[in-house]
Amino acid sequence: MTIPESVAAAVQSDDRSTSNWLKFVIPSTLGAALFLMPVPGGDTWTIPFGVMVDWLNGNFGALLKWALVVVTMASAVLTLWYSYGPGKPSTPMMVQYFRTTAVWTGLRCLGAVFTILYTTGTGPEWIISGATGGTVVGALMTNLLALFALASFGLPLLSDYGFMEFVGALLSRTFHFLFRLPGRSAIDGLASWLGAAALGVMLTVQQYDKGVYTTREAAVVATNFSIVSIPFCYVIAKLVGLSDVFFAYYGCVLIIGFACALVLPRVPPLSRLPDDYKAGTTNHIDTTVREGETLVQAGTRLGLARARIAPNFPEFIKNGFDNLVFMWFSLVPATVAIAMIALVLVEYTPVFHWLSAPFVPILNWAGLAEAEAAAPSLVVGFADMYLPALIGKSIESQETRFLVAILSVSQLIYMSEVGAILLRSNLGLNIGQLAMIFVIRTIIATPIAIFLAHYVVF
Amino acid sequence: MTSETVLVPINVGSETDRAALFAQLAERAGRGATIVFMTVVPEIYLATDTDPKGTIEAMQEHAGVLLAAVAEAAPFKVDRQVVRYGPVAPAILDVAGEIGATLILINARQKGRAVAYALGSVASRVANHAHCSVTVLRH
Repeated sequence: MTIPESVAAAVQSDDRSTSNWLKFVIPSTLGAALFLMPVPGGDTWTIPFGVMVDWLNGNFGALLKWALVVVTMASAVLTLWYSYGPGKPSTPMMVQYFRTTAVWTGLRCLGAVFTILYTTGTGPEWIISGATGGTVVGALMTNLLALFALASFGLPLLSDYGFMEFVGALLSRTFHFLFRLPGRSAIDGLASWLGAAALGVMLTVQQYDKGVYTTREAAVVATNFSIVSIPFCYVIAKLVGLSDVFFAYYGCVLIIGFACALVLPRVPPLSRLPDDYKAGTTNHIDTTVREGETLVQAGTRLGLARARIAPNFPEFIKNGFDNLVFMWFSLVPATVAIAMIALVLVEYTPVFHWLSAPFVPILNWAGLAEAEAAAPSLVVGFADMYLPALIGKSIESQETRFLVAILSVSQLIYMSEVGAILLRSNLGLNIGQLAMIFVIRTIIATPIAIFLAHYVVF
Repeated sequence: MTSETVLVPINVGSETDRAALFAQLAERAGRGATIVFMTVVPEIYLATDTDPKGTIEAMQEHAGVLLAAVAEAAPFKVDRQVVRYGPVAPAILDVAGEIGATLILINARQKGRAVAYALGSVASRVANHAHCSVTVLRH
């Protein structure tokens, strides 16, 4: 769990005891090995996390399928009971998990209905077909269940024990030089890449609240570096059948992210945001690297400071378990419902084809195979991150699927999560500006992805 | 001397003019009422978040900063500030029960008619279900 205020306090005390070094080095090394180390996987290279997800799916696929039924059903029943029935949640955790609004209650119930009808094969064709239920319940959600189970215990190794601060400090001058941002932005950017996009945005907002970033800087960091974390990139690649080129895929995501970060701050709407600090803040000094310190010294200091306040083993297990339960029971059922509704609209209505019709000639002109099937991906990513990949899953051309998987991750501003948080964060970005940033990111990402797919990857 | 405890739900994300609200509260605070400000971070769909608890904590911290700024601008002493996460109206009712509020003073939000019809309003839900008096200020 991320506790930036505590980090700030801990930075003042320089704990270089052996136990603190071990607390910094061991989990960080394990985390880096789990998510960043290339290992052979079949005919190609993958990451240990990917091997574990595949192993879980391969050996416990049936169990995961029925676990999804149990999770969605339990979530729907408990949410109805505690939100609209006589049940009174007795702990703050129960309130957080199971008391919700009518919209979310409806989505959780729909998620349970879709899952049961697909898994038992008793639903109508529009629910149990491979293009709808088969994609969402059969492919995406079983992968997500495994991902959540592993990532809720694995990612904190990267984000909570000093690795993020260490690497962030090493990159701080690069960020300052390339993007004209305070060095601290490297750590906030890494919080998304190594942790969670939503959390990355919130850490950035907190730095803005403290006066480390100006409005423009905070908006630049949040709209350029809040990319979904590595495990989700892996699941997207796997969903569209590209896990065998995961490193090439992730490399392209990094290149496109870098290109967007170079261009976006220099053009409207980001360039027109005020370069003012939040009213009432006085601490405008970025202390990521202190005067006279080398980057390694700063990284070590910040990493050790973070390790000092990081959870001990029992807390680590408890936090992971709490997050896992929250994700399974609060998020999974709603994700089933949202993804199913979107795919049913794609498969059984012309809505997305109308929306994407203007882009078909452009993609055809760019020489993309199955341009008509890929075109909806250019627009639906504004609603939710999973949608482009879900829609593009059945495209036959490998290059086109590659583009779709890249867009899924690189468009970055999706209103179901990052966009909604940005709107609430008082950074001065409205929905029109977010849509503009989304469009610019798509315009930058599409040709680069097509070029890389055509000339480098395949 | 009065033992009145006034709960004031604040939407920290809006630029609402709070002059009328503050005028009422200043008058009550002058009579010795305990003033409690609260805000609620509405639920959000954290679909790709593997640390939703951490994100919710961060959102609550941010809302706390904004609430503190509102409290600082108030021309009276705010005795307590509370931040919650979840559905807004039930959270307000929870806090009212926890602090033994004798009055909930709430601004009516300006919503479009269609939205208000479809989703109802926080103020009307609070007014319908609270166990104490509720004053809704229309501005």
